[in-house]
This record gives sequence, C-alpha cells and structure tokens, in this order.
Amino acid sequence: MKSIFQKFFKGIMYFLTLPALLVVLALVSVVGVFYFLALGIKAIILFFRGMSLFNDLPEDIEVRKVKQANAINVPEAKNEEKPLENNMVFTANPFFNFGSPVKEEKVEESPKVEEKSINNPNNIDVEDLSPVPMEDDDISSPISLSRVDDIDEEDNR
Amino acid sequence: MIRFLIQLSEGDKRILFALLIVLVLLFVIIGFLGKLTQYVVKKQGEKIDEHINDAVKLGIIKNKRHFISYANKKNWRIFFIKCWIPLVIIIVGILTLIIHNAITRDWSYDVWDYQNTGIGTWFFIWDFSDPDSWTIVFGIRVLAKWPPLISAPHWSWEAWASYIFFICVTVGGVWYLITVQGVIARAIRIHKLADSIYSPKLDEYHYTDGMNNNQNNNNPSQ
Repeated sequence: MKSIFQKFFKGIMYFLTLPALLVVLALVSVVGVFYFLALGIKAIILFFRGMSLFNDLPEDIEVRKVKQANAINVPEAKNEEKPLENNMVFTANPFFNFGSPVKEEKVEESPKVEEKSINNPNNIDVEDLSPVPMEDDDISSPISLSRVDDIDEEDNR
Repeated sequence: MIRFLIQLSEGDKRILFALLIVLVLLFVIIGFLGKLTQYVVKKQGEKIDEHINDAVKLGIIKNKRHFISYANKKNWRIFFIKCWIPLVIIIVGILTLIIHNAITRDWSYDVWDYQNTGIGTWFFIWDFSDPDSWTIVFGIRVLAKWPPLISAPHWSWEAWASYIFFICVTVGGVWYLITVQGVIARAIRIHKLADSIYSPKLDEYHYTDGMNNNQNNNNPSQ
C-alpha cells in the first residue's frame, strides 16, 4: 500500500515535470539535427580528402603511450619466476584432511635408459669400466683373483 | 442550515468515485513508467564509462573541468555514431514523398487522407465533429456517445508513398529520440562523476585514517 502511494505521488511529480522534460528533449533533438548536418557535411569533405572525421583526442594519444610503456615493462616482470623450495610439491590428498593440501617429498625419478646403438648394443658405458667391488675381496686390490678361480671351477663342472 | 450549491444524485456520485479511481490508477501507472525511464536513463548513462575509463584511471585527466570537456567530446561523438542511421531513414522517407510528388506533379498529395492517398487508410476514423455525440455537463462539453465511424482500416495502392513516409518517419523518429535520450543520460552521468571523482569529500573519511597513514610512513618529522 505504501509503495502504491509512493508511486502515486511520483506519478504526479512526473506528470507536472513532463512538459519541462519534453522541452529539453525537443531542444536537444533540434541541436542534434544541426550537429549531425554540420558534421555530416564535414565528414563528406574529409572523406574525399582521405582524412578521418574523428581523429584521436590528445588524451587518447597519451593513454596509448602510457599503455605501450606499461606493456614493455610487464613481460620483464613475468620472466622472474620464484623457484620451488627444497623440491616440495603441494598436492591435494583426498584421503587425508578432506582435501587440504599436504606437503609431499618429491620422489626422484630413476635415470633414463639410453637407447640401444649399433656399436654398443648392451649399453655399456665405455668411459666408466671400474670393477664392482665384492664384499669378501681385499679392498686394496681392485681386481679379485678369487673370482677368476670361481669361474674356472664352474667351467670344470 | 447550510445549503450545498451542487446537488449530486447517486449516479453522479458513482461516476465521480469511478473517475477518482481511474485518476489514481493513471498516476500510479505514470509513476511506474517514470521509474522505468529513470532505470533506462541510468543504464544509458553508464555507457560513457568505458570510453573515459582509461584516461581517468591512468591519471591523464587531472581536474573536473578537463574531465567534463573530454567526456562531453566523447559523448557527442557517440551520439553522432548512433544517430546517423535513424536520421538517414527519416531523410529517405521524406525524399520518397518529394520524389513521388515531383514525378506525378501532384503537390496536393495529402499524406493524412483517410479515403485514398493518406496514412488515414490504415486507422479507424470517427466523426468527432458530429453535434449529436456531444453534451454539456456542469458547463463543460463532454462526449455523450461514441461518434459514428466514417472509415475502417483498408489498403489503398494510391497511398504507397504515404505508407513509406509514415513508416520511415515513425521508426526513424523513435530511434532518434532514444539516441537523444542517451546523450542527455550520459551528460547527467558525466556531471555526477565529475563531482564524485574530482571534488574532495570527507563522507567516508575517519580521523584514524590519517593516523594509520602516518604510522606506515614512519612519521616524516623524524
């Protein structure tokens, strides 16, 4: 009920101010028609001269300069990435703390297997042919003679 | 004993009460339409923001006068871009009528005629000048009965130029008035923004804001 009364009094106010609003609308319409005719003739003349009617305003030129200057500075800031600390990876574990992020240690991947080449089919690293030390062997001697004896015993069997 | 000058019958009282209800409803409807117009004007005014946003936020416009000057130029440019289509439509309608009259050499061609050549052929036309339809109530001449119908809507091939003229002027005119409303709406918005952005106001300031700023700046007096 209150809103109906408010609308009623606003309606009376709009009804009383309507003539003034219509006069303002009519005046701006007439000014607009003259503005359009003047600018239309100017646009036709400029078109045949190869020029544009609405050149950039001085403020628009300044805006473009500032934006270009900002665009040069922004890519330099993006290249500085923050490195991860201690190779920690944050993941969401659904089975712990209902999905809250948990720190997990990053597992180092096993070294990649090199592709087989024609000259080195068994992938032997020819630069690293150090013998594998045995537990019972003497540490001072790099090559264990007992191993050679074991091989001979296996051949004789 | 006080005698009333006007003696009202029961029928007259009922008519007056009904007229009062109709008047109240009419003003309520005008209130709704006014509120709708206010909403549309507000939405139209906000369209200027995207054209002046960069210049204001990058600090290129320093004061209120510069802001109003720059924003008004933008406002009238937007108006020209939006208004040329409806004005061209109106010009096409007027030119159609002029060319038709020039070709047929009939400058007495009546655009509003309801019989053969005018736009009146599309509407119901009643004879409001019929004296039997009017009566005098409380010294005021009012309608006693609905006047007789003299023309119903019908198609007339002779009125084709009037039809084109009417359609072009109506469509172009309404469209043009909407663009004019847009200019007025944007102008109102420009003046509101000039006040809010560039006029110093203490509405949302609290004295502790100044104290917090001094703490962060480590007291410049030291």
